[in-house]
Amino acid sequence: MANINIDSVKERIFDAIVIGSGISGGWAAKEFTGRGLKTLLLERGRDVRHIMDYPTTSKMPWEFEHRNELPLAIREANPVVSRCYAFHEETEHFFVKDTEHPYIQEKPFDWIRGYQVGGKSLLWARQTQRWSDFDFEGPARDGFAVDWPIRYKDIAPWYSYVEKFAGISGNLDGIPELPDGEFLPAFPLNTVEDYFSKHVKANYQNRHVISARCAHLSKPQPVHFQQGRGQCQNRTLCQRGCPFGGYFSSNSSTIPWAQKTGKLTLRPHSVVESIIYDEQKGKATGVRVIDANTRQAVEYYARVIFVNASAINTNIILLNSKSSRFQNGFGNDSGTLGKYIAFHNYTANVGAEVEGFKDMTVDGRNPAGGGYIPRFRNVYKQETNFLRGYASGFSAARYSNTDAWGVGSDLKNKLKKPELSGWYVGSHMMGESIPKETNYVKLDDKEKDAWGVPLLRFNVDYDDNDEKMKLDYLEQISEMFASAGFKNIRKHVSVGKAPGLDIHEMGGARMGHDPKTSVLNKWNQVHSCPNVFITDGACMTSTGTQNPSLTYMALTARAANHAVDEINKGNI
Amino acid sequence: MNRRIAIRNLALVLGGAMLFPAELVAGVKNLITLKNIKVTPDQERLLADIAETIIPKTSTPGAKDLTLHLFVLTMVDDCYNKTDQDNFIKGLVQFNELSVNRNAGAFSVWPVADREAFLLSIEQANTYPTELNRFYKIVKDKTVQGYTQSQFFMTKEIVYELVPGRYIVNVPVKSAVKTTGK
Repeated sequence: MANINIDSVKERIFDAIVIGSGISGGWAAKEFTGRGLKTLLLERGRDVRHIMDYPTTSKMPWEFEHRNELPLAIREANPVVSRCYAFHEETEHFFVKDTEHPYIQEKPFDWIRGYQVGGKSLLWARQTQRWSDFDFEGPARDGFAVDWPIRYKDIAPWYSYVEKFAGISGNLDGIPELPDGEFLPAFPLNTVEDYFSKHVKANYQNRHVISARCAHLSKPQPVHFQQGRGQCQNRTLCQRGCPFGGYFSSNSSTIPWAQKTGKLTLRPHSVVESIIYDEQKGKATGVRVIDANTRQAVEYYARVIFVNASAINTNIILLNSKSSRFQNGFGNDSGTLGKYIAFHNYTANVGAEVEGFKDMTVDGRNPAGGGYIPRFRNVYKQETNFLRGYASGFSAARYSNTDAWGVGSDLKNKLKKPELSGWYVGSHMMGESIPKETNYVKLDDKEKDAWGVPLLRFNVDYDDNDEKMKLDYLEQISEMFASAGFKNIRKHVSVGKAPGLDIHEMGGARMGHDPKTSVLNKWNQVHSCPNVFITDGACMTSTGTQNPSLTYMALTARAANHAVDEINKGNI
Repeated sequence: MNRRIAIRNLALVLGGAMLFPAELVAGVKNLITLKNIKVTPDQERLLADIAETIIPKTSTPGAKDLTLHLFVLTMVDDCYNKTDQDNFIKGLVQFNELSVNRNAGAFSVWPVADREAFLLSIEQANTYPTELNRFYKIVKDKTVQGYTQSQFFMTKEIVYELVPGRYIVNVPVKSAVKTTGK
């Protein structure tokens, strides 16, 4: 390390290093600083300060040059990110462009990334459901992956802990497969959503349509006001960044909270190249960072290191952290690192028209997006020709219909008198996929990125189980719609849609009981290097059907507090 | 006319003069700089006349007041593919040629009814060239989009709410506040 100034070493020593400032890294920083640890939070992208760095947040529709549509040149140069539902003129600055950070697709994978302080927590869809033991016990019961080393009781108090701070709205629904949490008032189901909910309750066993649970402050509590956040104002422009702090993001919540302690050093533009392993001490001593702008290498040291770089980027860092102890990647004694990547299957949806209810509508906008149908397939016992199941989004809406035929003053008059359409309903599937050794990521042998880190190669695809599950989803939801009297039911399959657009990629450094078959233990500690923890999506042994962020937050808070306890005991 | 309105109108005239210097109004220069497509000042003016026929000035602003033809050009230039851009330019030329044969004088000086009839003849099923149909579809769609997403329309006709601050369900249709979605 020729460029290291010896005098500066002292300034580069911390109690804890957190790699990545997204939804899980923000939590690690908050927990560490809250317990008095001098913490370095590394972020490979630029800084995004709450409110100040949300340039489009208060723009009116007519203030976007192309009315929120992105120019063709941008879309053609960046086909992957352009397929993301949230990539528009209003959010372009929060997404990684394909051209800026290339990767290799042995099989197509739409990898959506947000390289900035706050990461994708600025952009997420904010759906937050707890896992239950029906999820944690899945791999053991159904014979795939490895058994989760934790159960619901291990994480339940930490769900409560993060829910209270983040602010989660929802109802106490009393559904065993989707445990209740510490909820702010739910956003209500509208007329038709409520009708369908009641119809399903009356006509199906163990199927439920509930208000979607989401990280919005429907009724902020003192702890939220202390964060400087206020009530959700139903703008549903969340992905621009919220000036009210109405939804949870690292930027609005955990990072400023950590900063208030005076214990946090936030270093943007810091690409972590590798974790430094000390053979003699038998533990990690720090991380090697490439400054994104100067491309200078600099090392930082700490007693404990949390890797929260986002699921796939965490895999890259681990795979690239080679030493004589870890010749095949950090903590990779099992040979499973980079393997058993899984995701959520989002390849189908069902729409229909609704007769009646025409005297009722809604006023304002619903940030929760509508309803949620927890997994009902194979919950209590195996009952289909595929493993696991799917959760589904469900929502009903009426639209403004405008007759735009013709020209002149007649047309002008018609445009200002849109008619309210009838009701439409829609649902999309969120299927659990089975982690397999053959779904993996690895580093390229030759090609490197602009910071000297090898390019990633994706080899992840759907399988027969995903295919069967998709058909079952289409059949079951259509049948439920028909049973409710919905008309003109349309099943839609996204043909040729690569995995990835769910933005729920998980695994590669899974948790497990056995160091021979997993990378992490029940505390998210690397089996073979207990002062390194991984608490982002990379740690996931299986995927469940829930939107994963809430679980990452709870696992992170749990692991960070365990790490501090272990430091205090002198164990790490 | 009372004095206050007279002064306001005078201000509008003066303001208009400042916004649109004579040479631009006369179509000597383009009002917009484009990256991918090329239109002459005459073509730009024709496009303004077509847009004004689609959304005319009435008691409220029309396409020219809202420079909707420039929005159309911006969108074609930035957001459409090469095929559409080529069709747009060819269709614009075809539109001009057809209009010359159809009626005396330039399209811009035709009576409103004649201008509207020509556009409607394209909008309906017709035997015009493919390029002209594509051109018209783009101009119509983007003029209507530019209009309904203009500041005027979204603040005066159907009010857009940036901050609704509410989500209420089971609202009787009659009492629902009329707002646009997002």
